[in-house]
Amino acid sequence: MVKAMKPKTNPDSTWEKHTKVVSDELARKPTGHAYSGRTVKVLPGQVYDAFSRLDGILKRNKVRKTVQVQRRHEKKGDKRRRLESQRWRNRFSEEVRQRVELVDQIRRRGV
Amino acid sequence: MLAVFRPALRHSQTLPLSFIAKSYIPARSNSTSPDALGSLVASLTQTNELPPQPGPDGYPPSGTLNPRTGNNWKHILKPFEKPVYHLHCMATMNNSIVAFTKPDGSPMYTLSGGMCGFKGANRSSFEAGYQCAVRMFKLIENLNKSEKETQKKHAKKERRAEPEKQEGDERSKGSAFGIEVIFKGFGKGRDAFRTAILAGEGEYIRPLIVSVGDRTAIKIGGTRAKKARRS
Repeated sequence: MVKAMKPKTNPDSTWEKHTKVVSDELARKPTGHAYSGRTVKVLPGQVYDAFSRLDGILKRNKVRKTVQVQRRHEKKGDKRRRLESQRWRNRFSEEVRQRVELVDQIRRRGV
Repeated sequence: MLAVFRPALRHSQTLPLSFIAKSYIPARSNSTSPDALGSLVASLTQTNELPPQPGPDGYPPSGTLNPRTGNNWKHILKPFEKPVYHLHCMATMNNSIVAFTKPDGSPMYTLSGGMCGFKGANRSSFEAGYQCAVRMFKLIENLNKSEKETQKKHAKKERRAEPEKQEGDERSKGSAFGIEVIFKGFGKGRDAFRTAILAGEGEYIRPLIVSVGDRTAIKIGGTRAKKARRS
């Protein structure tokens, strides 16, 4: 005869414990929304720095540029030509960066 | 089903060491207490089998992320006890609108370029945005003062002996509420608003600001915009 296993802990208390852990974490780090990435917490007395940080976030994510581009419809030909030119410029600058870095490396370690 | 949350381990906890050291403990050891582990680690360090240990001051305190600025981010995790009102600044190509809302989003005060006396194209100018900001700051100041008065009255009624020392944000003690500044749009009014906050006119508002955000709408795909003006 197999005896039924008696649970050692009360399920209600387990639920309460788990709920407390999760709700404490949520209170400490609330869930984000669509604009959480563009929200900056202000340290006491550092409003200017907070504005600068926000500007940095917007610049790195090209928010202003995107808004400008989306204001008017860009026809397919214009878009294609713009992307081609942009991609070439990115590639070119990346190649130049690699060459210059290589030169710096060689200079640093001595010819 | 609720998942149990395990908080991430920090630098102050010597995790890799315990992983390494555990492999040296024989499988059937009865002594799995922390003292046994520590003494084992110490003996292994002395015989050069383990690398030198960091010790209690080995890692920087978890508060300082950047050694140069050394900002203590712990107080960001402290709760801001007072309610946080929102100050929405919408700066479009045609107008600048400023709205002060309660924490739930319902508006309390609204000001626009037209309400400040500017008409037509001037509504979206820098000056209009600046005046909107200045007038709004006055309204916020009056509201904060009246709220503090009512809070004092409530405190007197309840006859609290002394306020409990809470580990909360210091800014929540000086005022009745905090402010979250929310920008929308990239018109001239946005610069004007920012300048107003950082200048003398924003003297009262600056210490109340808890966070700053941007809510400019961005399409992901979306509807087709109007055609370009000179096509």
